[in-house]
Amino acid sequence: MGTLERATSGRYLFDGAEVSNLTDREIARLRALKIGFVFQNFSLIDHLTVYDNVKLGLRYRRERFPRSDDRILEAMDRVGIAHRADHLPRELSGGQQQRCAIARAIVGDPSLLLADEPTGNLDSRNAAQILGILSELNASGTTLVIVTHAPSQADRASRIIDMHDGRIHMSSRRLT
Amino acid sequence: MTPTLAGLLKLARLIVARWSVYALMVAGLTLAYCAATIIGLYVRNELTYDGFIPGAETTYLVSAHYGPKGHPLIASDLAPAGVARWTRSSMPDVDGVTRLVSVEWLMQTDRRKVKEHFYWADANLFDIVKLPALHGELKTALVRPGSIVMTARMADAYFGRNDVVGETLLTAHRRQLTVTAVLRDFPPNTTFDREIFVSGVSDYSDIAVLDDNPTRLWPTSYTYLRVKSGSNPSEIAQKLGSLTRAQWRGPNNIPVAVDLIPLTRLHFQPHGDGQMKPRGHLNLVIALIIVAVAIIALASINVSGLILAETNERVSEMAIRAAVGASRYDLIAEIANEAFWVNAASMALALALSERVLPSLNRLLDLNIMMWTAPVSLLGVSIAITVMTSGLSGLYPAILVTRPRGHRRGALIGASSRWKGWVVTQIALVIVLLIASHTMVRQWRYAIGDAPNFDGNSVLMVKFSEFSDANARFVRDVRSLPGVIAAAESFSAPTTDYARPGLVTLGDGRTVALTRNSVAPEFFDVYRVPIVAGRNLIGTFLEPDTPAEILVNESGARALGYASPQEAVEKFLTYDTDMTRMRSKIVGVVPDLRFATVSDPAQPMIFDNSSKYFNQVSIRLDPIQGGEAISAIESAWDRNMGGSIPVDKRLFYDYLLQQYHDLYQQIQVFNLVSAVAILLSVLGLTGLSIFLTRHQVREMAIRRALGATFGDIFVQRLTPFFLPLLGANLVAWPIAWLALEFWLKSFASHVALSLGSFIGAGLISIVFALITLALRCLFASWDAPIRSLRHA
Repeated sequence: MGTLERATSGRYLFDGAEVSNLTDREIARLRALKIGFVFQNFSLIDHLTVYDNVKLGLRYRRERFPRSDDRILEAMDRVGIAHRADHLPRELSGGQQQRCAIARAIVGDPSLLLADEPTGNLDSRNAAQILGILSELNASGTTLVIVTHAPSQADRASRIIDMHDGRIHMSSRRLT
Repeated sequence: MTPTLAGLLKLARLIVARWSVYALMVAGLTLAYCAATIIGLYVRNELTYDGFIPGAETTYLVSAHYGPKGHPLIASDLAPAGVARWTRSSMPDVDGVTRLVSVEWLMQTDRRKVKEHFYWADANLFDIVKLPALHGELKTALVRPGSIVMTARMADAYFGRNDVVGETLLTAHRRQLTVTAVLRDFPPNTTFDREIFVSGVSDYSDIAVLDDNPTRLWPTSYTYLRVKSGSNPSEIAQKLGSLTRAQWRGPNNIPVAVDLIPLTRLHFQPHGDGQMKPRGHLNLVIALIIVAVAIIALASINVSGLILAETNERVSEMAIRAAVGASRYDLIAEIANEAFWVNAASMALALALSERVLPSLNRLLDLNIMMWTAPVSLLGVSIAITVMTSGLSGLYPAILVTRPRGHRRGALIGASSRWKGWVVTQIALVIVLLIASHTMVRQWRYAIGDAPNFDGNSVLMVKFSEFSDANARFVRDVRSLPGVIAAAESFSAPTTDYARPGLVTLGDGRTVALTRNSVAPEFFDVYRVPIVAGRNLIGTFLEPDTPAEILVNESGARALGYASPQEAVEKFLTYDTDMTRMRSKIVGVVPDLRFATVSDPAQPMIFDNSSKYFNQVSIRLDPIQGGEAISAIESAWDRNMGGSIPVDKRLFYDYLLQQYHDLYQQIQVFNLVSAVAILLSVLGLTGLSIFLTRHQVREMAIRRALGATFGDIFVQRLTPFFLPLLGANLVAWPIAWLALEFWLKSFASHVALSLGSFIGAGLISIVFALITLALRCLFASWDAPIRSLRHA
């Protein structure tokens, strides 16, 4: 779904476009413009500050953002990490690192946010806060796909796809 | 990309990922060890000249210096013939003295007939110079007239075997020589250039002629002596100098000083007139030692970084080992052990490679370096270097990687910076070597091109025989041959085989030394030398000794105090030679010609037209008919010499190349060392790139996830190397400038350093580095490993 790897069979339509027909360059652009990633291990670049890590979310869009500073600050504000903007990742707690990763994912305003076990490395208090942030983002219009092993988290989703050994075991839709 | 190509690339990546680090380590070290081994063998060869002669360090060559006091005109390996006699009679501190005189005569057996280069030798030669014998008794080998001693190689050439004591061969005038002893073959690193010694006791030998005419004191003999134990060689040299000055019979008493040079140090002495072999260059030896050490050090540091990259990949393995009870010492030992075996394997490969490469290298550089002449010391040094570099390359990463987790990360970042610094150092070394190579090539081209200041291309030099009438007929015939443009006789000119000084005392009391040359007037046509002022000489004369007319060169005119060449014309010059005082009229001035190498300053010269000592003819050939003309010249020689004397000929250009053979060798050595350094720096850069890739694989993956294209990753990875590469130039340029200024100043005449050499070397190194990095970045960036995001 993240287009990090090519499909070996089947079709994958994104916004109506067949992804497997796109070139590497077009796929990279698709990721830069429309997909945000949140990883279990945060995946921040160690030698960049929080601000620079978040800024990286805009870099490969190849667009001049008017007031890009404001957008970065806004994204950091939204997840509550703005006060640590000048810190390096290793100076942050796990929860703060994940907030930074979320800020980076949303700074470009993607239409799809992919979160791969976003709370897997966090304690329960931080996990709850992160899930709260993700829920808010979803409520404000961002499509959110979360991979999780925790049924309590899955229960908060509007659609659940249960996968077992790489195959879809069950798909259910919650009525809202 | 097609699926097949993608599959192949994937396979290649897998192989490289698995083996690249070890392959790089072994390749880099093998290359470095091989280069260092060959350099080491070359250096050993240079430093052990004549070491095969027992007692060589206490056997001295008497070197003579002639010329105005404080301004030696000629430093000569040849001493006046009387030095040996005076030493025997008046120097009790000397244990023994002996002489050699070089000569070329026809020698023949059924197997071989050539104009042979050999020495006349005093009967006591082997008491003083203790050359090792293979057959016969050396102590008495040269006592009888007509006895001859030769090396096993020469015996084999003349007789087809080496046990030839009692065999005979014929020489000029059908004189018979009897072999009385056979010497062991000389190693290539000897100062002796001939392998045959004929008894000087024979009444027809040059030594006997000199002894029978004690007034003939011009320098003709290589004189060797041994001093008694406890005696001071410097004091003996001073006494011998005084003795020589006191005994000098020449009417004008040219000042002479004497020096005693141990055989083992002769190879590194400054150029000497009549030297048997080209001298070595101590500066070159020192430079090569530094380069060899630098190459090994840089290769070790490269390996150190690669081991660091490799072991850092195995952090979890280290953790598991620690969990099952391994101490930090155990882990360090584990990594150091691996480093040792990598080094040992590389050294073994390097020795094998050196053995394989040496014959080609010997052919290329006209060397004769042998590998296993001292196997124990070679293996001992190899093992010592292996152990040392194992420690250097293994311990540092071992200590770093086994540090507690909290300290490791910062240390690794530091290691990365240091490694980058070392790679920059390597590139700086490459730049220095490239600049050095280019400057040496320019100096060599200058030496064989513009420096002589005359046109010697297409000129063939033929040495005369001892029969003057036949020589004259030969020259007359040669002039009428098709393909011959001009021919001119001379006494050695334009070679420096025999140098004759002429001393002029100026009005202010200063003495000016000019080199005297005897040439036929056509000499200046053959070598295309214009007459700058006045006119050329007319004809030649045989007697009397004093020439009526002479030419001087521009330096000579200046040295004599004339403001312009024109001013010197028609003036009379009084000058002293070793035999008599002469007075001649200057009829013309020629440009400054360089007969000596660029190591020596251009000499003020006198040219006269005395034919008394003419010993060769220079023949300008038509470049188109040159080959046929040479055949015709050989036929003319055989016709005039009755077919009994082989023609001794050489092209002037070949002579010039031979004069600069040592410089040519230096160029080739530096070219090869530069190539090795480039390869090492390529390996170093590749290693650094692998190291950084492994450390930045996650970062690359994150960037890919955020939308970076392959091109973005490529540029992002390449950019940080630009500044260090420019930094390498900043480091290298001043070092190269200083070193090459120093080197160029060892020549009396040299090219200026060229900015082009610096810019060219910088660009070449940057292009090489960027290509290497680009290939590696291309490889690493192509599919920035997304999986690392999954597993990190």
